[in-house]
Amino acid sequence: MRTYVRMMVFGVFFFMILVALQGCARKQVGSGSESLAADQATGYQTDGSQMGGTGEGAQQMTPEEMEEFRLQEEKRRKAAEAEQAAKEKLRQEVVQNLNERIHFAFDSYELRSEARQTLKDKAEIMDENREIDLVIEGHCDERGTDEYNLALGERRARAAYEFLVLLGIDPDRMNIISYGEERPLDPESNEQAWAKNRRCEFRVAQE
Amino acid sequence: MPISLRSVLISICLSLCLSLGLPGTGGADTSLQVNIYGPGQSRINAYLPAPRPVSADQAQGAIPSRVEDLSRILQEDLSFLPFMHFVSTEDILGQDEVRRLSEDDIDFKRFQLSKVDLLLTMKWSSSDQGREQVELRAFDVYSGDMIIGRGYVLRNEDHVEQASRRFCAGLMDKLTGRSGFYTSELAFVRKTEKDKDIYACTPQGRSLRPLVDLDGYCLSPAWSGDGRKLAMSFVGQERHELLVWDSESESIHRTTLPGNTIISPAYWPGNGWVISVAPRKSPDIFRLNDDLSLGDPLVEHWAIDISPHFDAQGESMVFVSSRFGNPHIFLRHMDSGEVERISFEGTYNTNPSISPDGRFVAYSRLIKGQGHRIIVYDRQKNSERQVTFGPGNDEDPSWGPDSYFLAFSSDRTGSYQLYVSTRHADEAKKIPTGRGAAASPAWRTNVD
Repeated sequence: MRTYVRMMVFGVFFFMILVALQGCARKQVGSGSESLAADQATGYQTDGSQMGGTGEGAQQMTPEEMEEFRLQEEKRRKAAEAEQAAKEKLRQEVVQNLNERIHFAFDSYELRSEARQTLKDKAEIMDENREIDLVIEGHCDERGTDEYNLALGERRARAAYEFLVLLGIDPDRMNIISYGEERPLDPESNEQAWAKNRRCEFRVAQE
Repeated sequence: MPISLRSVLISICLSLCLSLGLPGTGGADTSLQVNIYGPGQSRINAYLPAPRPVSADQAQGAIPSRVEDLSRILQEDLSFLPFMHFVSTEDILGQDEVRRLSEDDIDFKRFQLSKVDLLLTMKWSSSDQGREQVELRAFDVYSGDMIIGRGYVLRNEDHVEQASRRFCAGLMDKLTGRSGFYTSELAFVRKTEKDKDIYACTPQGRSLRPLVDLDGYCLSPAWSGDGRKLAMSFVGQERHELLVWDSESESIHRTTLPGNTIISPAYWPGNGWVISVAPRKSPDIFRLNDDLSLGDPLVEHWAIDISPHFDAQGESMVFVSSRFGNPHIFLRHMDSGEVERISFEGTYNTNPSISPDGRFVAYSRLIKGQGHRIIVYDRQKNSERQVTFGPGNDEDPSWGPDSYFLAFSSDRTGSYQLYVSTRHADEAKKIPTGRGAAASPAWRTNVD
């Protein structure tokens, strides 16, 4: 019996030691979690300098960890910039394609076959880029009177507008304006310049 | 019956004698007359000697600069009359004596022999430095009668120009029965380096001043009937607007209208403003309400209908329409609404202007190989004639208030400038308007 009691006391003592050892181990893991939480709460600017926070976690980051974090942020920033540049480049290409002019014969607002193809290309671009609105400008050469050329420029712009509407572009996404002979592309007074100046220009509307 | 006939003849003879013998007050009693509306105009040889002082005391001194300026400006202004030809002193018999001309004792025979028809004299007196008094007279050399005599006080340069204009207006009225050329003003479009603005000057190019200067293109100025307001179309960066400038308040009323295009405002006497806009597919001509909102259509067609212009009574409106494929001139009878075609020749006829008396329609025609030329269509004779001959392009014809003078723009010297001619195709005379191209003249009547 005495032997049995001794074994029981020894077992309890051993269990207590075991529990005490487990408690220490848990406390160490818990300290690590707190440290990580502090890191997350502390922000960094893209150049790696400390931005704010309590500093408790930062104090717990090693310089190597901070450098690694800064490098990751730099990489992420460059990737975002590259993505933005690609988008802008794509937009510029879209705008450039939309800017392509169409030309007309003297005293005419009839769309030539090449003008129709250009407008079809524009319609595709506008269909793919629904955030883009368009201003269509009608222009004339210097021959003729200011007043008739204003009217003719209006008819040229309207011809392009109506063709794009036929191709499915929402009329609310387009606006037209006639500048008549007031904004020549080529100021010379010869057939070559006049042919250049009888045109429609297209520009993306400013929001 | 024979007695009755004799009585009638006697009555007519007596009436003629009385009418010839009675002194008159208008131009009709002056022997020197010019029928500016006749098929062939007279030519008047005029002579203007140097100004002379009233008193002999001032004869030794120099002629005041304002008096000299008036002498020069008077001759320049009168030179705009196509029938007026100035004779130089070298062509007058006895030059030295002519230089000492005195109004009290004019030897008209000397001028008759020198083929002078009209003798102008100018006497001056100066009481102090800042003020000169001038007496201007015009004599009919063949009768020796004074046609007109006026006195003016000159205190500044503006007075000099005003004195010249008023004397010219009086003289023209005596000679022709009309004086509107010297009592009117022209608004016009001046091209600057960046845009187009509206300026005004007299038809002789004096009193030049800006009226409207905005960041955009001001086009097609048109005066209201009373000359108080000036309407124009304005092409801005993003849209067209109608501008109405008030000469009394010097303020600008800006408005937009349905559609994207505002072209060629005009004033319909008794009814207000008219304009060409495109609320649907193509520019048509509409009347505007008093608040400048869009009123009833006057011309509606699938084609381009622009450039309305009215006679002084508002009975007829000329306009441009491309309803036959190319721009041509049409006339709408405002009472019946009937539309009549005016131009048949050529393929590009634009810028119509109907004379205030409603008889003539001037417009610009593109002639192949030459450029634009001004054509005048006579509604009474149903005939037309070319009245300008370039070189370059002659455009924007605009009738003066007397239905005689015709202002237009031309690039015959390189850039567009204003010129004035007459319905008889007289030699075009350039209107000095300063730097920059000038176009689209619009007459304002009764300025003084």
